[in-house]
Amino acid sequence: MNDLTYIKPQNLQEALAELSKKNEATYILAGGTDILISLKEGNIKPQYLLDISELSEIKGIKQEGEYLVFGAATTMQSIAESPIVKEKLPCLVSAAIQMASPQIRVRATIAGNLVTGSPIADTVPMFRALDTVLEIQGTGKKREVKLDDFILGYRKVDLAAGEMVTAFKVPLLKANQKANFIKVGRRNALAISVLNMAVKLTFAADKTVESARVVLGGVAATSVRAKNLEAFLTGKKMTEEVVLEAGNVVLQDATPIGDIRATAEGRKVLLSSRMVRLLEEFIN
Amino acid sequence: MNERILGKEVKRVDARDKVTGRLKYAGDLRVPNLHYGKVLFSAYPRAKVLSIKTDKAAALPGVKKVITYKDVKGPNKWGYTNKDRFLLVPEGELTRYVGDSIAFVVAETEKVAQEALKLIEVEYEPLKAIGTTEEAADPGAPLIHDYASGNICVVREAVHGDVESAFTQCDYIVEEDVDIPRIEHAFIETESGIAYVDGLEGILHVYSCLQDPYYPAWDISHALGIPQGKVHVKATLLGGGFGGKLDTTIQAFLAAMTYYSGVPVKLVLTREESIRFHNKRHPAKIHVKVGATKDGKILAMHGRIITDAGPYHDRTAEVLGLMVHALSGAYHIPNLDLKGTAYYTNNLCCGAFRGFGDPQGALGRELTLNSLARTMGMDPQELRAKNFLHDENVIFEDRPVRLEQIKEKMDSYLGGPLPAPSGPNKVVGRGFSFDKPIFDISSTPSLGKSGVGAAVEMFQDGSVIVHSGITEMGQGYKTIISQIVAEELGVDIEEIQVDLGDNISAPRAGRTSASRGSFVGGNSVILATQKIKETLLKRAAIELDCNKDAVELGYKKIYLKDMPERSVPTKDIAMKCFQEGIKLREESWFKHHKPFVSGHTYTCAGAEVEVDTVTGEVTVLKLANIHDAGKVLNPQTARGQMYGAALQSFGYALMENIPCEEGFPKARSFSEYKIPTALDVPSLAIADFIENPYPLGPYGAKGMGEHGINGSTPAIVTAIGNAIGKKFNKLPVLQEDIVNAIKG
Amino acid sequence: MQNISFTLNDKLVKVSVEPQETLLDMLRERLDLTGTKKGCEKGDCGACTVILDGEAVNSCLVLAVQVDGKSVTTIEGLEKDGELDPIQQAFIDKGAVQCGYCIPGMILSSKALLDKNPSPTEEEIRTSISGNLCRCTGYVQIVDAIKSLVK
Repeated sequence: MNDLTYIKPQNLQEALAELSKKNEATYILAGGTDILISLKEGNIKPQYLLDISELSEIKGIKQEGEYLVFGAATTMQSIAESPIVKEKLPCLVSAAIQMASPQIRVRATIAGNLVTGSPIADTVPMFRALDTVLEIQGTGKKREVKLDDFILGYRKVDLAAGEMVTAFKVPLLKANQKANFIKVGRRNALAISVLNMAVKLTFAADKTVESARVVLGGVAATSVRAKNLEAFLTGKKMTEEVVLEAGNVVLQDATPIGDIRATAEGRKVLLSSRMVRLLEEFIN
Repeated sequence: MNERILGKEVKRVDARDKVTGRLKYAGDLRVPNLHYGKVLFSAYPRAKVLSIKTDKAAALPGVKKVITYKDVKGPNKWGYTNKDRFLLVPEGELTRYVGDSIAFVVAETEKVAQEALKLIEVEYEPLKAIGTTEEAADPGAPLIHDYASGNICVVREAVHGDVESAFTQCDYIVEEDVDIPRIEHAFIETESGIAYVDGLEGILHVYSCLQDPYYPAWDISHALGIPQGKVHVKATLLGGGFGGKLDTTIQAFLAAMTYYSGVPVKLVLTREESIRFHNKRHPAKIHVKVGATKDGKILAMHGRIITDAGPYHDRTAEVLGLMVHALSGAYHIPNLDLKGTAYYTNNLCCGAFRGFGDPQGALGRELTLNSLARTMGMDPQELRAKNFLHDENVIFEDRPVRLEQIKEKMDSYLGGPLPAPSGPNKVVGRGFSFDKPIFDISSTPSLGKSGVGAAVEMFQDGSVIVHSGITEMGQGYKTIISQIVAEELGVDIEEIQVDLGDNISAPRAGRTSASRGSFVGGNSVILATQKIKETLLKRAAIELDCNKDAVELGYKKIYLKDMPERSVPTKDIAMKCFQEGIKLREESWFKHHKPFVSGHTYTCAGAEVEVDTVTGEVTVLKLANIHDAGKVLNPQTARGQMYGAALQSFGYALMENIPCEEGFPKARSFSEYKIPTALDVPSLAIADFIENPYPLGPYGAKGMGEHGINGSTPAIVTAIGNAIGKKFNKLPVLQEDIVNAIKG
Repeated sequence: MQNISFTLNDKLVKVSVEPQETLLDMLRERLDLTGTKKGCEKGDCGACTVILDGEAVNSCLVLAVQVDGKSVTTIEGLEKDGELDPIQQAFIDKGAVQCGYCIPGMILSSKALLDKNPSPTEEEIRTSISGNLCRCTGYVQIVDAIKSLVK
């Protein structure tokens, strides 16, 4: 029972070294808001817990050229309070601030929210819609992967042994781009999403949609791109009629199941009505 | 009467200990050599227990004892009403729900106990569970209890007049089906406690969070086969109860754990265990048919209720009785044919929950009356006014306030034109409901519920202790009793100690439920203090050299009525009594003179909501309750009770539900069972009172603890319906239901 | 076992803890600070809220070893020389306490807010306690109590 070892590396290099020399029973502890529950429930049996929550190299938010780069251990609260995110990517503030509760947001990290592979993680759809690129490191190696490609299946992500996500590179919105996010929960705080959705639209000079990225959470085994809706929106002007029709089209992109939070049918109704609400803001 | 302390906003006497974290709740207690218990609950709602092997668990280092049915020396049965549940399910017997207990572990730490649970090998033969009342009623269904044919737990009826012929005289008849879910108390403190035995032949002590120390003592004594006089049960201050801790919860488990392991034991259920184990609010399917003449006189009501009791009887007979009673509510309906049937199933067990059947009955009634008013084209409040109970058709001593009086007060908060919606695609609506909640006045002669005692003693320094068997679960009883004693005996609140919920030191008081605490407890304490007052006055008269009738007890002194400057300090008289062997400890017994009488209040709840017509999101802007309180003993705690109850109804209306699928609960934790947060509830909650003193009440007070919950749920549901011009008969009302209703 | 030292209610303490032990269990079981309550052990109720380096956190979701070198304030640390913290007094005065089980966490969440933002809006007040469930009060008098301290 007491064979767990807690390790708190002093820097990223040390963390990666620990990660590579230990075995598969090494788990990364970031915010702890998810993993400590799994630990208590006995769903995981780690031998080593690697606490990366205070590694300065992977915390914080900075602008690098056309990107806003988020350290993987950046907390939800720091996103919600960050002046630069509020200014450049307010849609991410909206996603971060709706997660769980203040006590959770001050601990929970963006990478933690992602790597569990949950289909209803609150920040994943928005990061995906923004076409985020992940920076992943192992000892002596570094790679980049699109967030779209990182998610492999239900609670499965593209992360090899010895690797950890170190940064989220999010392209800044251009003048002709707009993005936003909606979460549907059963209450206004401490709610696991029934579903959530994020949209980023790029407009052509004639105000038609040049390209659309729409990501849905909670309507399939992973968060999914709403390809049918994206195709439908592309080339159209965002009018009230288009938005209303979008509420129907998006249903082609969803294969929800029923659970304690909503029935499958209920989810479709919510998806459709909330997509209308989300896209209303894009009418021009 | 001009009271010094009663009716004032006296601060809660337990608040300081609560805001500093000093107060010890049951799970905070510790004694030397304390061990930890865990319960192995049944893995299946319905299964035959073929074998239970405990060797491996018992061999785990740190395990003191693994207890199964084989260790139990007594009848091994407990449960309210019928003693129909096993303390530990024996091999060869069937489990009846996922909250049945198979084995107990006692170990040095909670972690070891938890590990040991996993090492107990139970071989089950899983059987198909009875998961719905329809399945239970099927003639081919297996019986959950051999003695309950058709799996019928209980039937309750209320029949009056001739409904069929009355319907023929009605100009309008409507029928509605109302579907109400099972819900969870969600007290934040889970079931917890410690237990130990004084020596081999000594008293078994159980300290636990509970709403009635007397019944669990009986359950323990019965299950273990030990004399009741050896069982001491003491209620710690509760971290919320709401009916969920009314009947025995873990107390018999604790008793068995300590009794058969020989060491002191602490048991604290996890949230998940708590949810699967304790009783819930009964779900109900209600069909109501109601008819009225064209001028709005309701002539007849026909009602049928089907409810799912879960596997054990518990309080179902009482809850269902009230549910049936509540179908006619605060209205005079001359012809009634009301019937409720409760079935046994293998779902979660149901029992007491704030409101106790009335919330379900109120929903069935109020939503159907709205439908009748709509059909008639009559203002729903006018329809209610035409049929509201008044003095001549009330058989009890309720002294109902007039509907107009309640309505006038409600209109001062929720009257006038509707506010403008906050934006496009938003609509607002209001809903009202009237209710006649019940409170117990210590009259019903069944299961030890009638007769409430208290003991009060004044010490030689003039300070006072009260022993009352009522419990403090947050409602403020301790404060109310302190106020009453301070008023009656002319002492300061700081000089009063109130010892609660102890089955040995306090005369029998029964349950802390049915909005009865301040009423029955207050009355019994007043009876005891009056006797002490008599003694003090008699002794003071000697001291003041006058007749007893010439003296009066005031604040800290006894004085001559005609010459108030001639007085003697009360504590000096208390000292004289002490020195001279005059008794200053008194017991009392409060019991209503007639059997089967209840008290009622008359209330109105109103809700103002805004609905988003695109998304179905609901914002409750205002939620108001006007309550006929008799007399408000402490305005601050009274408002607290009304707010709390009303906002529980907010969850009931909009988010709460704990469905079972073939006996397995679908919401298992606090992340799956959602109660409202501070960001959900209306920012404007209103509670106001009408004070029309009730002759039987302490200082004229009626009961009120539950009364904000009943009417608030139908008020919210009605307001949503009115906002969008539709009706909702199924709870909780979810966003997708609203979107679907708007679409058609 | 691992040795840690941290500031607890303004005093430096040294404790030996198990690596998987939560801050909540350490406070309650090793240090006998039972004012921090256990309600769900999963961050769903907020009853175990403490202040860790100025932020309200669920002590059930922080490992004891993680507070090494940090500062923790529990409900027991608010009263100074018999004087209640103004938040504690406001909770008493406004009738915000019923059963009281959520109250330590509720007070610490609101304290974390007011320490950072002495003039919060009602929305900010409600957000600050949105991770603390209360089943008794409907939050009405709790919000009143916090509002009464807004500068």
